[in-house]
Amino acid sequence: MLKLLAENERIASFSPALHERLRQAYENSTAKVSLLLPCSVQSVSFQPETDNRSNFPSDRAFHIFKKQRDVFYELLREWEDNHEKTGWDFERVLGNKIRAMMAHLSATCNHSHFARLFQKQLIQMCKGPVGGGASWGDTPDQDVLNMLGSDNLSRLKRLQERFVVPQSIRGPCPPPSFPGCQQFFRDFILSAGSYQFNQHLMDSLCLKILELNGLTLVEHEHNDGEADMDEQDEKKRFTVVLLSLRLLAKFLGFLVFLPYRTVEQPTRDLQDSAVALRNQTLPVLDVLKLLRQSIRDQRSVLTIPWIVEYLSLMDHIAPFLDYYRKVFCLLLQVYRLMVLSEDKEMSFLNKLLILAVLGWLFQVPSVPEELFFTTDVRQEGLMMDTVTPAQALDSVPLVDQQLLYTCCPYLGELRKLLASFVAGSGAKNGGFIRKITPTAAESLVPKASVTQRKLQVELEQAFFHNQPPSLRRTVEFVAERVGSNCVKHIKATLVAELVQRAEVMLQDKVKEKDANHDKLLEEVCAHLYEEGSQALIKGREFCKKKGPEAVRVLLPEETSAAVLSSAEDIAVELATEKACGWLSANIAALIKREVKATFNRMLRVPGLPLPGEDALELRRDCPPGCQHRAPFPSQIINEIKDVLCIAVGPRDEAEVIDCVWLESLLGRLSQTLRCRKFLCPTSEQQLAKCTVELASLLVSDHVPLSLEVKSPEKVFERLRVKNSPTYGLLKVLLSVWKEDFGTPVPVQLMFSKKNIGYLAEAKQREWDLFLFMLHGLVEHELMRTSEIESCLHRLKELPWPSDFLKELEILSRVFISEHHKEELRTNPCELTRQSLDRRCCSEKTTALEEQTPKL
Amino acid sequence: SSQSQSTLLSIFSQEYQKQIKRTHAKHHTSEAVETYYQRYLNGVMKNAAAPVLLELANEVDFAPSLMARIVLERFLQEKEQVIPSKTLINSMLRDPSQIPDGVLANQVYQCTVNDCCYGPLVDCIKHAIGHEHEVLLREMLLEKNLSFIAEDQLRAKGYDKTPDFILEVPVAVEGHIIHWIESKASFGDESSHQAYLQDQFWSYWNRFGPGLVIYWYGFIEELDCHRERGILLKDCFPTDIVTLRHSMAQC
Repeated sequence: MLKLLAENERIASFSPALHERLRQAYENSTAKVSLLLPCSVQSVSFQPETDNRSNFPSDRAFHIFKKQRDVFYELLREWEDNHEKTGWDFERVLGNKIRAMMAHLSATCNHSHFARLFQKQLIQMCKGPVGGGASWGDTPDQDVLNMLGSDNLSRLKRLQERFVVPQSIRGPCPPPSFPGCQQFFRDFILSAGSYQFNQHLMDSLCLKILELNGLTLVEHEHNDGEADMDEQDEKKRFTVVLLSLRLLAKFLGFLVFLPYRTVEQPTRDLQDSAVALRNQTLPVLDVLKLLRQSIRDQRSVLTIPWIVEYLSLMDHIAPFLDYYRKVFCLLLQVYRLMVLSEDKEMSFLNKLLILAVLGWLFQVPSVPEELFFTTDVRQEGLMMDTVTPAQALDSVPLVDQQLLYTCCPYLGELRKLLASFVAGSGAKNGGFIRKITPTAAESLVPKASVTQRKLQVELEQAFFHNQPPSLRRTVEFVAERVGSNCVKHIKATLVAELVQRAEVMLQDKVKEKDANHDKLLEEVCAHLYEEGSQALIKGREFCKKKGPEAVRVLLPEETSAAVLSSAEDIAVELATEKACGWLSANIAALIKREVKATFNRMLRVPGLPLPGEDALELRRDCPPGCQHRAPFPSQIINEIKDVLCIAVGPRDEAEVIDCVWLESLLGRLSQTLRCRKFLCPTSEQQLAKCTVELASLLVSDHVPLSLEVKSPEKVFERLRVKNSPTYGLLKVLLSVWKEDFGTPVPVQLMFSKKNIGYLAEAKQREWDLFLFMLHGLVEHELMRTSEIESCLHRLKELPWPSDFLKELEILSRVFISEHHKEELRTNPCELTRQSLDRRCCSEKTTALEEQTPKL
Repeated sequence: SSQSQSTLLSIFSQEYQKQIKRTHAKHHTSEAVETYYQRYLNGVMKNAAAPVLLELANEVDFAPSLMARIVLERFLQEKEQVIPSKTLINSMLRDPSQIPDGVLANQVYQCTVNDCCYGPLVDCIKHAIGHEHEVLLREMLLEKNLSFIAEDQLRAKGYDKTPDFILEVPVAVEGHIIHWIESKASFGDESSHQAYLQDQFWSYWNRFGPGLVIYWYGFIEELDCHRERGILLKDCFPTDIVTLRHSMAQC
C-alpha cells in the first residue's frame, strides 16, 4: 500500500512533501510479505487417548459417536461439493440430517465429544486467512513450485479459489461475516438449533480461547545472538494463535448473542426492559477482565483483536448492558490513547492492527454511535506495569503487513482504490501458517512437606532465572513427554503382563459352571493389585533413564556439566512426579479396566483357544526353513467342499472321486496346516470340521471313490475288499488331525445323530470302517476310550430302526470288550468278525455275514 | 490366467448376490415361508433321502443356504413355539448336527455344501481369501520397509474404525499421499464400492486422512474418482512409491 501511495500521482501533485515522505518510507520499509500456504481440508485425526472406548460412559455411546463422526464428515463433503451450486440450500438439504444427528447425540450425552470434534475441525479448516485479498498470478511462483511440487499446485489453486469469495468484502467497513468454510459451521449451528450442543460448544470455545490467550509466545531476549531465528518462529506462532483466537472468538460471540439477535433495532422501551432483564446475568466469558489484564501485561496486540471479533457479533441490546458498556469504554480509551500518543514502546504495525480492528468494530451496525458520546464514560485508569513484563507482546514487532491484511481485509479496499491508478497489481499476499500443538505441563500436588517443597520450587526457579528461557522450556517439555511416555510404557509392559496372567487365571475358573463373573473378576484383580505397585518402581526407573538422555540431546553441546546435571535432575524429578502421581492414583483402576475388557472378550469368543490352553498352542510357527509355498487354506477348503458336495449329493451315477487325487488333497491339506503363515483360526476350524464330516462320509461309504477310471460296478467291488483305499484315507486323516492341526478337531461330531445317520441309511453298513475309526481315534489320542463309550451310549438312546440299534449295541460291546481286554494290537477287523459272529449267531447271523467284509 | 478366473468368479458371485438381494423379500413373506415348509414336509415324507430342500431352492431360484435357513427357522418355530434366536439358527447352520431332526439336518447340510455363494462354508472361504491377501500385503509392506500398524494392534488401542494397515510414516503413491491401506480380495464393482465407501473408506478418511484401497481382483476404472480427495484405488501393490527420504520408484 505504501508503494501505491508513494507512486500515486495525485498525492504527488497535492503535496510533494508528503509524496517524498511516502517514497522514503517505502524504500526503508522492511515489511515482508510471506508466502501463503493454505492448509488443505483434512479430517481431525482419531486419538485413542481422547477418542477410544474408555472415554465414553457406555458401548452404545461409543458406537453412536463413531457413527456421528462419519455423518459429520459426510455432511461436510456434501457441502463442499454442492454449496456453490445454484439453488442449493443448506437447511433444505442438510437440516434434517443435522437434527437427526443432534437427537442421537442427546440420547447418549455425547455432546461434549462432538463439540470437541466440531471445534477442532473448525480450526483445521478456517484458521487460514480467509478473504484476505490474496491473489496468485496465473504463472506459478517458483518458490511455491519448489515448496509444493507442480503436482500440488492445481490443488493449491483450487483451494485458493475457494478462499477468494468476491463479495466477501463489502466496502471499507463491512458487517461481520462468515466467509469460506466458516459458513458451513455457522449454518450447521443454526440448523442444529440444539441448546445442548451450543452450550457444550461454548464451554469448549471458552476453554480454548483462554488457553491460547494465555500462551507465552515470546520468550527470547532481544540482545540474544540467536534471536533472529527465534523471532521468526515467534512471529509465526503469534500469527497462528491470533488467527485461531479470532476465529474461535467470532464463533463464541455468534453463539452467545444468538438468542438475542433481532433484524431490526428495537424501540427504546423494548430496549430498556431488555437491558433491565439482561443486566442480571453473568457473561459467559469475562472479556472485561481479560481486556484489563491484557492492557496491564502489555499483551493487547493479542487480546484486543479477538475481543473485537467476539463483540462484533453482538445483538442490538448487548452494547447497552452495564458490563459491555464498560468494555466499550475501555476500548474507546485504548483507541484514543493510541491515536494520540506517539508511543515508541509499541511496535508500529502492532498499533496499526489494534487501531484498524477497533475502528472497524466501532462502525459495526449493532454498535450504536451514541455509545461514544454519552457523558457517563468514566475514565478508567489504564494501568500498565511500569516494568515491562517478560512476556509483553505489544513492544515486540509481531504483526507484519501480511497479518494486518489478513485480519483487516477491508484495508484492501483502500488499496483497491489506489491500485486503480496504477497499471498491474501483481502483489502477492499470504502468510506462512504453521500448525502448532500447545502443550501444557501439568503440575501435581506436592506430597512432601510443604515448606521443603516450597524451597525446592524456589531453588528451581532460581536455577532457571539466569539461564536462557529455552532451557526451562526444554526441561518442562522433556518432563512432560517422559512422564507421559512412562505411563504408556508401564501400560504396554507391566499392565499387559498382568492382564495376560489374569487371562490364564480366569480361563480356568470361567469354565466352572455358575461362576459369578463379577466376583471372579474382583478376586483376580485383587490378586494383581499388589503387583501393580511395581509400577511406581518401574516408572521411577524409566524416568531416571530416559529423562537425562532427552535433556542431553536437546540442550546445546556447550552447556556446562553442572547446569546439565541440574537440568537433568529437575527433568527427572518432574517427569517422575507426573508419571508416578498418575500411576499411584490410577494403576488399580487401569488393571481392572484392562482385565475386564479381556474377560469380556473371553466370554464373547468362547471357541477361541486362549494362550497356554494346551500344548497345541505351541504349534504356532511354521516349521524351520518353511518356504510358505503350501497351497492357500481357501483353496483347500474349496476343494474339500467340492468333495463333500459330491459325497452328500445329489450326483450323477458316473460321478466319482479319484482316490489318488483325494489322497493328494489330504497331503496338500497337511502342508497347508503345517505352514502357519496364511492360516487364520476360522480357516483352521473350518478345515477341522470339514475333515470330520469327510471322515463320517468315508466311514459310511458315502464317498464314491474310484481307484483308476473304471466302471462304477468294478469300483464298488473293490471297495468291498478289506484293503479298500478308504482305510488308507482314514489313516491319513487321523494322522493329519493328530500331527498337523493347531486347533482341537471336533472328532466327537462323528457321533452326532446326523453323521451316524449316514451309517444307518447305508444299504451296506460298513461297521469295519467305523470300528477301525474308533480304534484309530484312541490310538492317536484324539479321544479316550471312556469318551467313545459314553458317545456310543448316548447314541443308543436315540430312536433308531430296531435292526440298526441292535448292531450298534453289538458294536458298542465289541469296542468295550476289546479295549477292556487291551487287545488293541490285534487286527481289529478280525476281532469284529469274531465277536459279531460269536454274539449274534442266534439272532441275525446271516444278515451280519453279509455286512461284514469277506476276508 | 488364474487371476482373470478369480476375477470372473468374484464378479459372478457379486451379480448372484445382487439378484438374491432383489428377490429376498419375495421369499420371506409368510405365504412363501408356509409354502416352502409344506413342500419340504411333503417332500421328505415321500423320500427323506431325496434332495428336497436343494431342489426346492433351485426351482424357485433362491440360494440353497438361505432356503435352508427359512425352513429351519420355520421348523424351530413350530417345535419350540417361539421365534428362535439368530445366534441359534446360525449355530445350527454352521453345525447341522445340532439340529434336533435328523432328516432336516441332512437336508440343511446338503444345501450349505451345495451353495456356491452363501452359507457358512462359502463365508469361511471368503474370509480365508481375505486373510490370505492381507498376509500377502503385509509381506509386501515388510519387503518395502514400510512400517505399519496392523488392524489388531489398532483395535487393542481402542480405535473405533480400523483399516487393515496404517502406515506409521505416510508415503506418496502416484503422487498422492496415503496414510492407510485396505486390502479387498474381491472385484470392485459399483454397488460394493459404494457400500465400502460408506461403511469403511470414508470413515478411515475421516479419522486418518487419505489412503489406498487395493482391489486384488480388479475394479471398474470409473470408480477411481476420489483420488484428489484422498481415496486411491489400485488392483495390485503400487510400484510408484515415494517415501519421506528417498524415492523407491521401480519399473
